[in-house]
Amino acid sequence: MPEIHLADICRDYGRHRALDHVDLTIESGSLAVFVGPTGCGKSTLLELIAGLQTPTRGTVAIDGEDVVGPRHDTVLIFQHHNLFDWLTVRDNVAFGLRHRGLSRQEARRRAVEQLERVGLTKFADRVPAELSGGMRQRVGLARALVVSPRLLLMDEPFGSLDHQTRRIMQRYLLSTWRQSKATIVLVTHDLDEALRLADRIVMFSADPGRPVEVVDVDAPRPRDLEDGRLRQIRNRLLSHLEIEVTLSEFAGEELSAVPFALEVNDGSA
Amino acid sequence: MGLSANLRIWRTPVAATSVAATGSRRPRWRSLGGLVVAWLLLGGAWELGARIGFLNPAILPPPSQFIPYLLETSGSVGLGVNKVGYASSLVETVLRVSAGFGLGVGIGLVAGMLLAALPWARVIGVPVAQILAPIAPIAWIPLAIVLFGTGDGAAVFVVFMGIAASMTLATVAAVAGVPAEYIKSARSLGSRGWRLWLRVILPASAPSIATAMRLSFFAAWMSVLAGEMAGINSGLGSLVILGQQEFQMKLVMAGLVTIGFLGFGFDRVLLLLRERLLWWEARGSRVDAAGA
Repeated sequence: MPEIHLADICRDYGRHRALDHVDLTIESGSLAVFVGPTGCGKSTLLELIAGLQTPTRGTVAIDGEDVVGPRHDTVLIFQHHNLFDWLTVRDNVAFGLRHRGLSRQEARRRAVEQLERVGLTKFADRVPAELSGGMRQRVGLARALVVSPRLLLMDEPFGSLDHQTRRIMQRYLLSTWRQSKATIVLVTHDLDEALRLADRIVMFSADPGRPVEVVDVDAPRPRDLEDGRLRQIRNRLLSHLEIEVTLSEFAGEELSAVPFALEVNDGSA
Repeated sequence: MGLSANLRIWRTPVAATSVAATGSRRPRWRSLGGLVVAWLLLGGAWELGARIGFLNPAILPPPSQFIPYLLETSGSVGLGVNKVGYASSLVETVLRVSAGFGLGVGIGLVAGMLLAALPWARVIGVPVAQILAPIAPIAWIPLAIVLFGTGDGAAVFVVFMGIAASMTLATVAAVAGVPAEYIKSARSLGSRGWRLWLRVILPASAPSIATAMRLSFFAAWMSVLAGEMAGINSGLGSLVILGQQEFQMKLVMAGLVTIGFLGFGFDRVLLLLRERLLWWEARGSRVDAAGA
């Protein structure tokens, strides 16, 4: 169970600073959720942890080891383009195993085993275009889990699913997380999702992107979002996000012209 | 009835493939039937026009005239060493376009992949290809004849120059169009180096490359015929020009129809190859079509 340690991370794109002096520790075996407005660098941070990008400054360490490229124990899942259109479901799931030195036969055998666990054995010979959005995301999850990652990074994994499917996927994620004991970092726009899943919610602010607040959520799961404490956290997240979005939408002068823009829910409602 | 069929598809997706599998064959037969009917109609109108004197058969000889003419004379024009036959011209042109197309696409693909993979090569290579691509294939004919004489070499060269640069650029663009998340997903799962290229970037860019290949074939077909008409004095293009010069309009018509049908045939073969190689495309659209 890896612990992630981010020390003084900056990431620049040309002259634009996407991440600004980020210091953050994510405990091993925890489920951390990043929330924040668009462009706050949360996806970039995920890719830095995945070793797909290198920080302009600072270091990412997993279990005390500096990340210099994609690691065998880390998998990143996206919302779109997650599955390869040209491979069957079985070969999609076998993809990561093949790159870990397994023979085609053995990789496929294990892929089918994993598909059994997500209830998709019947669809092993289909191609992704023949599946529904929820099935595709389940296959994507199976493809990540089959390599037994100790760290699972998810960039708005359920963002394109309808409400019911999203709830099912969240429950599925929680149950697999409990079994695998992996560390999960998940980026989302959906506050309810954050509250249902997270041990710890990291709130980001934009321009430049950095974490501004860390909220621990220690309520037992499954959670009732109407619970007083969760509602309090929810209101805090909501007002934070509204301020952030307003600040990124309106410049200073405009703000004074539209005073209602900053009348946000302060949690007393 | 349509509703109940849809419901069945919805409940058991297995049914969707079987329904769609038969459905996929139907459009092909339909398009073949459409082709035959369309040409029967066109040929019939042509014949009719010639019979009632609306079309001058000396200038536009109908199929009932040029087809028997072709069979009787084996369609040769000219005398002695300049004698050109229909069958040999056809074979010549087909071989030339195949060689030029194969070389142009092959080298364009390899060059495009290299340019896409090596940023420093792209800085130099892409501008070169961008200048070469818009040069009309016909413009290469004088150079081709000086380099290779008036034979197969010149024709292959013209076809090659007509498509290689644009194929290179299309390949660079196809690779650039691969969604970044595909590559990130693959790298995150441990894929890198040539395996990443072979297993992810190549298949992800294959659909756009296949489209570029089909367009390249049209350019190649134009190039070889234009070359044969303008200086490379053999092949189908040359046959049509000779027919015109000797006022053998039956031969000209036979040549034109042959050019059309051959080009169509090549295009169908490329389409069939695409369906075979990019098999997953059809499977995706089947369910969409069945579900819609």
